[in-house]
Amino acid sequence: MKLMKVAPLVLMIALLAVFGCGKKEPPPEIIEAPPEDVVEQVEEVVEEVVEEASPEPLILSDIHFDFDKHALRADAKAALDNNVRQLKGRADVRVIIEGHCDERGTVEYNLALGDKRARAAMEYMVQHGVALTRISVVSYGEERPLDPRHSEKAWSKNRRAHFVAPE
Amino acid sequence: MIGFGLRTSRWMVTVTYFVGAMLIANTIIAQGRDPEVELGVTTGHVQLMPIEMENFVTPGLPGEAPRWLRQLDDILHRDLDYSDLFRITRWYLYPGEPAESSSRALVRGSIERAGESWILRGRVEELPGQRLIFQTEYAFTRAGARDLVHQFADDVVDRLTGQVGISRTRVTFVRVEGDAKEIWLIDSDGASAERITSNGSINLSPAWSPDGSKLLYTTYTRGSPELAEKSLVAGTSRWVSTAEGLNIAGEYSPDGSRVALTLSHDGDADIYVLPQGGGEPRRLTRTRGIDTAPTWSPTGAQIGFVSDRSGSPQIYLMDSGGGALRRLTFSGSYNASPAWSPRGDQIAFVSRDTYMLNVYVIGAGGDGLRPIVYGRGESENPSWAPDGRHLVYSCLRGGERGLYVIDIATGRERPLTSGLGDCYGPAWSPVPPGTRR
Repeated sequence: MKLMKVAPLVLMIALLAVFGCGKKEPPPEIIEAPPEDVVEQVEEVVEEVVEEASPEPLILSDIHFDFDKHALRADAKAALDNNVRQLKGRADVRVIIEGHCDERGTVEYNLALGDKRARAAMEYMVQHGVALTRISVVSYGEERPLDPRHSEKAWSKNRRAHFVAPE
Repeated sequence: MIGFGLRTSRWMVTVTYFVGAMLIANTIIAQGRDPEVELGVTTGHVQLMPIEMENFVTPGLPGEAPRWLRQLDDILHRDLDYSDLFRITRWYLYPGEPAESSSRALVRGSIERAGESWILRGRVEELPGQRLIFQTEYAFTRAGARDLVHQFADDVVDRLTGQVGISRTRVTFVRVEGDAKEIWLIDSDGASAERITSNGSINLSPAWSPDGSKLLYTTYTRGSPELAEKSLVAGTSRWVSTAEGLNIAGEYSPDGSRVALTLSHDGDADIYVLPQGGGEPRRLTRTRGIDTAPTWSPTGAQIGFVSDRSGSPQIYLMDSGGGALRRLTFSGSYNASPAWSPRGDQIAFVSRDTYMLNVYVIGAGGDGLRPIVYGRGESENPSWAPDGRHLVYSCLRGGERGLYVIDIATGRERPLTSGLGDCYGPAWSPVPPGTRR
């Protein structure tokens, strides 16, 4: 469906490019971008397609960890099950899993720990049916706390994996 | 002559200094500079050489010397003070003031105009008697005045104590600027703070090349932690490692030919060594679990690192090919951030007690564990000065993370980044070319 709508436009772009080149001499550099009006048309079509296929917005929950741990707790697994269910219904969406730590501990060790946390979440999601190719991980260690305060309450919020699904 | 009740060995000798027939400092301990040998931990009773300082005289200048010239006295005074080798009994003396009886040396000098530039003639004289120990002459421009005075201070350190002067060294670190974390530089006396990156992203863990001309650092400019190198001379940058996952904790080998770093693309954090001339990274650790924060021994033969393979983060050593693994720390359940001393004998690291991280040193053989910074606030990321005596680290005090310098021999501490807000992740530079060592 999507292909059929876009195909004539692609042909148009190709033709425009060919004729555009033929008229000028000496031949200019390769035209990398199609003329603006064509781009606008393509974008409109793409937007329509997305609207048709996205009935509900994704709400992916953070999961939390114990101090210096990357093992998934029961509450984390429940949240991951919910995230997995949503992602299965949206095969077009890719997800970035951010691993975070509290401020206690060293910068380099926490970067490694955040990486372990993000990968633990990724493994669980892959085991439960989300394609590995849709997921990437990035560790922020202790560099991006949700709550910058120096308290146990803030620390427990900051030890998390956060899910970002860019549109 | 070598006695004085001090333990002596091949590597630890009591050095005596003669000026003519006079003994000027008989209890300064000079430790051998052979890397990676047991030196024994320096403890307690450190004797500082009492010296005095005269203000520089400025013959030939009409009226009072300009302000920048008068400030050179302060720079020299701070340098000698911060070396933690001297007790400055009196300073800002006017030329000709009588010396105090306990002082062993007098540091003085003159500054004169020489066309467009300036000449500093420095003198160090024995006390009492003012017999010349050494004199030196430097030409400088106004822009180079600060560095020149540092050089004089380092020469004083070298000639009076035989130690490596650190007055001309700098410290690189991370400064928090709103949401951004940028790499900065500061002189080791706290002057001349300067921003190195300004990309608005997260930049972490700067590390010096052995010649001091480049910095390795991790940057999130493209969305994930990748390792870059910045030339401080040319100002140019290049990517060093951009694998999937972590590209962090980069450290040049002492000869600059390799970079040890942490990558996680094989499933979790492991230590790798990357040849600088190009080529594939070589994996050194293979256990399941975290292995990170590599630190080279001064010969490049060994690498220290953190691993949680025992169930908690502990410090381990291995040879730089990945063999001969041994665990270094056994007490405490969180030991991390190892830094191998440039003398080779000790490793500084941080250890968590109930309340916070503290800085410790331990002998490279596992002996001589002792706290260096304890109970002063979450203390992290110790990095050695090239003299093997001073450490710079970050410490959380009054809600702000700042950098502090401590002398492990005397325990004397001073703030480094006052007024710069949250700063962390410091790395002390090597000595620049031209410093006697």
